[in-house]
Amino acid sequence: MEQITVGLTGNPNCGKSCVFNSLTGAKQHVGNYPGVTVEKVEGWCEHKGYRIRIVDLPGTYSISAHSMDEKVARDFVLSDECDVIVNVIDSNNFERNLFLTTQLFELNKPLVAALNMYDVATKNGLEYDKEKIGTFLNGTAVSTVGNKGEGIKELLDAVVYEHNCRREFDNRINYGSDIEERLERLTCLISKEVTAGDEKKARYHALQLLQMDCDINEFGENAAKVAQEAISELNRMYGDNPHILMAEKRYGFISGLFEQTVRKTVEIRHDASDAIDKILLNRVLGLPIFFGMMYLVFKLTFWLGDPVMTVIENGFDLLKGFVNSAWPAGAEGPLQSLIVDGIIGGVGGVVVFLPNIIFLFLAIAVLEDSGYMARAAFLMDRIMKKIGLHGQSFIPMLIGFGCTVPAIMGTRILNERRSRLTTIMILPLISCGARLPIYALIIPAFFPKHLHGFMMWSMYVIGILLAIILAKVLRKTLFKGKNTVMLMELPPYRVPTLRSVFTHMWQKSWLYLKKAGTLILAISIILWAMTSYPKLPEEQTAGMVPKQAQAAELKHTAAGRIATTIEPATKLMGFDYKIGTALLGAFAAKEVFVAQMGIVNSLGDAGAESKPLREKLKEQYTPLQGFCIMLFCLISTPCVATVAICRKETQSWAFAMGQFIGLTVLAFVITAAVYQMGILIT
Amino acid sequence: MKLTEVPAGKICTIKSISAEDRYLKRFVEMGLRAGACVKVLRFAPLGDPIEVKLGNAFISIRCENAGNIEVDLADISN
Repeated sequence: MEQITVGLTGNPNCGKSCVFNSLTGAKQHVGNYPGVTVEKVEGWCEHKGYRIRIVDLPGTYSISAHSMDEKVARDFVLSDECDVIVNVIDSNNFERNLFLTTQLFELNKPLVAALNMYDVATKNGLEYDKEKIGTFLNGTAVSTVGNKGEGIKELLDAVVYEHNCRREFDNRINYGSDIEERLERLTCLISKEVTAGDEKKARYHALQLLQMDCDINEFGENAAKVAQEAISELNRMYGDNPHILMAEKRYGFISGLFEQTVRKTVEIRHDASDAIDKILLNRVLGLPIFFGMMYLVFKLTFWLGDPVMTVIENGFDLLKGFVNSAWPAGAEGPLQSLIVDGIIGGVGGVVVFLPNIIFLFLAIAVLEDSGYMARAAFLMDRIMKKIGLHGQSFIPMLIGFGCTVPAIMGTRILNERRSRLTTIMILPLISCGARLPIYALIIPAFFPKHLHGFMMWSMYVIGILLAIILAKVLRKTLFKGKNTVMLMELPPYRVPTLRSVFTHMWQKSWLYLKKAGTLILAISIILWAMTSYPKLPEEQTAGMVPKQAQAAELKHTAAGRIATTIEPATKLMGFDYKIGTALLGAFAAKEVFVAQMGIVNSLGDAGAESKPLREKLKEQYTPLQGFCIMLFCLISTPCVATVAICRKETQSWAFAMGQFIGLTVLAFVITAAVYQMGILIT
Repeated sequence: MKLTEVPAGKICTIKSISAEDRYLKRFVEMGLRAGACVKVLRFAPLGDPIEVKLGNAFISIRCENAGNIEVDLADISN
């Protein structure tokens, strides 16, 4: 079957994903573009004997390649892989959406314009002459209603038609003689530089050069010189750079097209959206409503998730029990331990986060599809600007109080790379739920009752303050750069469709399971090996009570030995080898610290409520040491899952390891400083 | 006057935008350009950013950026 590859483009909020879902149904596939964190969603369908492969490109206002999203979109539509471009246009925002359309038009490729949300436009009194629009664009224009699946068949007809009709393309917008002359000269120069077969794209590349959309040296020194001259000449003549002059001409083309093809019978308004905003963005009510909503998201994620998590945990415990009991008697050994503790335990550790992630993405999908997410960023922008971030960074930070893993995944809503990286880097400092059992163990052990609440509160506050300081430092050093212009569209409110909400939720959750799962599993197995091997010869534990034997065995393992070796260093923070071993094991997940402390202190597996463990801690350590344990746990990386997810989301081991090492060093320095100063004072 | 000085609810026409080139592109692509008509809808609760209506779209602009937009107040206001 012959295949047609379609690049699906459009502005943000034009209803592109609805069209995509209607086109492909469940036949979708999510991945990442190689080397970047931009998600690549594609799907397929069959139509008139063709297999139509649809690549859903990121929503962009232009393909000038300012951002990763735009670059991905541009490179794809420009590539030979893309046979037909489908441009989804919000019919209610026709003129503004056409800016991207004019750029696509100039690529000289088969083009189908889908006038989406056509039903609303008709209701708003807009009438379009689709045939004429098609003629203007040297392609086909169809009308669609993405969320109801209307016009999808016609859209596919148009794709097949455009693919087969082999049009002669020489699409150009007339930029006026001054610009055209220079374009012509550049086009000539470039067509000599590019590889054979690419000459057709020469005019497009010339446009790129004049608009300063690419590296000026990309097409040879000669072209660079001519382009530079042309830019400064035009600037002298008109007082503006060519890209502004050219944008003016584009808008000229657009308004010509608009006037001849659209008839307005009524003035359009978005009364409903504005009325909702009058309340939700109200000067007095806006922020309280926002915090209420965020609280709801938070609750939904963890309160709905927790019961399911318990079920999953119990399920894995049952599985472990089943494997243990089914294991042939007398054959117990390393393999059993690897399967039960390493693999089942490791997989369980990954899967157990899934309910949180599913509910979180469900909430995010609802907030995004309804249009509220953009409002949240609008409300919080002022505060986040103070630490060099964007309003949208606030949402993942809030999620971070529950769990760092979904919070890091939540940074996908940020489209500016540097602020996204900054947000990812500071997120582990937001005290997550896994640190709570540690605080719950330590605080009652060392501090009088009237200080309990304050100590807990102060741990959270220290985390937040450190996060703010780190964000400021990162924005001034590693992720320096002035904020790009913060222009953000606030889409009209819509009732999210079940289908799109569930599709978004499912795709993101699946990505988590697939990619992070493999990595986390691998590291869990390594950690399991480190806390199990080498084994202590049996005769040495002979005569000990089982709990003492367990402690002796742990000390003998790789983790125990490492902790003993680095004891001189950890001593600076007030940690002996016992705390060190527990902390090493706790790298798998912070909550493991409590259980490990129980083991090293020969008390067996201990829960946070364990009184004997608290007594034991009180005997051995001072309140200062207790505080230092909490401080170190707060600042150091929460768990191995965080490192894995950071690697996945930044697509770079450098960032993942940088974060891990950086936070560990920071935790060491701060804790050691606090401990040393504490000793001096007391 | 500057866009930030326009009271909420008023309509104005953009006269000029001064910004670095690569940022100027952003404005123009979104449709914010000389001659465009915008209505200032509201300021965020903390005073920044502001929300304007351009054609049929709602756009949020930080004050530091909106301060670079020179506008003329239109006579008609509704």
